[in-house]
Amino acid sequence: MEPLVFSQIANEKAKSMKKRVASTALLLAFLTVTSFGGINHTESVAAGLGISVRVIPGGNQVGQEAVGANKRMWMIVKQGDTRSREIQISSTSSISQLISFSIVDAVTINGVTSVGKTLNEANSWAQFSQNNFILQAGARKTVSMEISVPNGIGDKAVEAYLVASAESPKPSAQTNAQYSAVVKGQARFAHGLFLAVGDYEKFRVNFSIDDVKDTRRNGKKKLQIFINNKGLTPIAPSGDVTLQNADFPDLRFGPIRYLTARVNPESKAVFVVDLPEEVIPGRWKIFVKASQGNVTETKVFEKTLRFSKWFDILFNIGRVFVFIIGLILFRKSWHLFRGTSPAPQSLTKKARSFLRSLRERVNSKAKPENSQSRKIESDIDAEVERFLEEIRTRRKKASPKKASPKKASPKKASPKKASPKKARA
Amino acid sequence: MNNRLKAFAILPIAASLTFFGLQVVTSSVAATSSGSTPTDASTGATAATIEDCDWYLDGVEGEIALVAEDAMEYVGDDYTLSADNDGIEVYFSGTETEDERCSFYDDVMGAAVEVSWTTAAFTSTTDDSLDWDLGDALETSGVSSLDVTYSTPVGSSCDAAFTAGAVASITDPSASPIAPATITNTATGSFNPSALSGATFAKCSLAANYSVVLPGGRTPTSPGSSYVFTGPRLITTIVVNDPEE
Repeated sequence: MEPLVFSQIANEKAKSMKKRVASTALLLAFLTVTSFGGINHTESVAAGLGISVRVIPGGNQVGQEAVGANKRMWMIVKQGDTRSREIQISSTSSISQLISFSIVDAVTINGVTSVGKTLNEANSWAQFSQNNFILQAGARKTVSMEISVPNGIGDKAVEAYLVASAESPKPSAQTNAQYSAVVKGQARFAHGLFLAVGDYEKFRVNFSIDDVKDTRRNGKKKLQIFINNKGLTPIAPSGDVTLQNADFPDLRFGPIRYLTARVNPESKAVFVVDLPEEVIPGRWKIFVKASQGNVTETKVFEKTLRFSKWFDILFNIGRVFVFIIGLILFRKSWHLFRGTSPAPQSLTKKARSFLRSLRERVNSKAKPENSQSRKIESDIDAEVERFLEEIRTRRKKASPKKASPKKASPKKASPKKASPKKARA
Repeated sequence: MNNRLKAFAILPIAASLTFFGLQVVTSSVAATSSGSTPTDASTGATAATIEDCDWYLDGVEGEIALVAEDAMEYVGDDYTLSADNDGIEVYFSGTETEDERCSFYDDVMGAAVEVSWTTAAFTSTTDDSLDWDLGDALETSGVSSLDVTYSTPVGSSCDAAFTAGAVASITDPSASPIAPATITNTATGSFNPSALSGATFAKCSLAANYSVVLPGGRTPTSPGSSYVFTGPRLITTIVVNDPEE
């Protein structure tokens, strides 16, 4: 029994050993596969470049808070002066990246503005606290950009892009293929840059809230705010709107906050604010506030809100008619003043006279220039002249015969003259 | 004289009518000019303690190797080389990690992804016998071009707020860039990244396919050896929409 038991035990041990080996092998295989998978995954992630750039509000912008106290890269720098802004660059990549900063041109093609390929002149005025450096995987870095405008540069507004470029510092594409084509990649982050060169006073923020209008879009009540940027710097004001019913002052809505997009220098823009459906048609006092940095504009409008698109359309058509009538009256007044008649001429008449004058002009210009044609012309003229002379001489010859009845006419008249005598007689 | 009096009488009426009419003309112009497209302003509350929303571009390949799919060798016929890049991501978030609560702090900015390129030639540093320029005639028909196609990858998504997808056949380095993904300021403002629960973020995943044909009818100086051609650099730029929409 013992050897049998022993052999059974030995068999069981061998079986359990096999199981262990098998499970260990499976585990190892699983780990190998997953680890290779992990490596592969890491490699595919590692190949990816990824960045972000944040413009930090403020910087060395003393006295220019209206322009610099935001996340937009707007600066005003006087000739011979230096101003700075700070930017933060962060990596979303799992590999180290070679980072470089530059200021490139903004190019507008068919109305679409995009990042150009050439460096802007402002690039030579810029000094970055760090440039062409390695940004470690997942790291963040704050970089200062100083702009020093040299003396002698004329006042101007520069529209460009601040570009942060990320490249792989080492070649990463590897293949065993006999023939391969390598396309290098670069990730860039472009942030719009407005740089005004000149005095701060010249480029101070200057805008107004011109008007508000009710409208209805997609069945929703909206308020249009008309903003006029009269300054030489771009703006993107934000603010709020409060509505108070003119008949029931306790009926108030707001403040309703609104945001705007960028408004270019010396241009107008309209922004639409959603209104609550409870704002009923009627007379309302509308308080509008708009702020750009430390510059705030407020205005109160008293308007009848209708929220009818058709009313607006018909009203505008009517106004266009009034404009045309005004122009017609101007014309009438002008003709009355000049003493001329604004006699209406039919279109066909106008066209005919125009064509006639055109034909005459062409004929007068299109006279033959060569000597032969001139000779023919003079021959014809001479022939015509001779013919006319002949007619004249014929008339002269014929004139005495024709003249007699004319001379005789007084004779015919004599009985008329005689008649009074007869009457007297 | 009588007529002149009439003229003077008509003049102020005409002027006032023209001025009244002109107001609508100018206001219509203001409302429809390119610089003043009516823009939906978004409304809502902001919290001062959460992160600032920033745009991120991720997953752009530093180098892409285009190879023949069927492992065929170049035998003097037109020879297609291609590659894919599936992981390009565009998103806004409070940190480098996606979907981190944040606020634009009243300064909502959209973004556009632009792709431009340099040079239009594929050259080998070791042997120039097979070098070619984009625009060179192919043996079959047409010319060699670097074809780039951007689409939404299978299993990923691109928010409807984006205008996504683009195709380019590159033969000219000076051609305009393409825009595979664009989102306006207004569309960005429609997301609510600061919500305590159910915050929403704009994001778009892009897959890029690259393909180029090595023209046939050429004889390599060193047949049997490997050829690596370096082509144009593809520059993927995320442009934050500072300019007006």
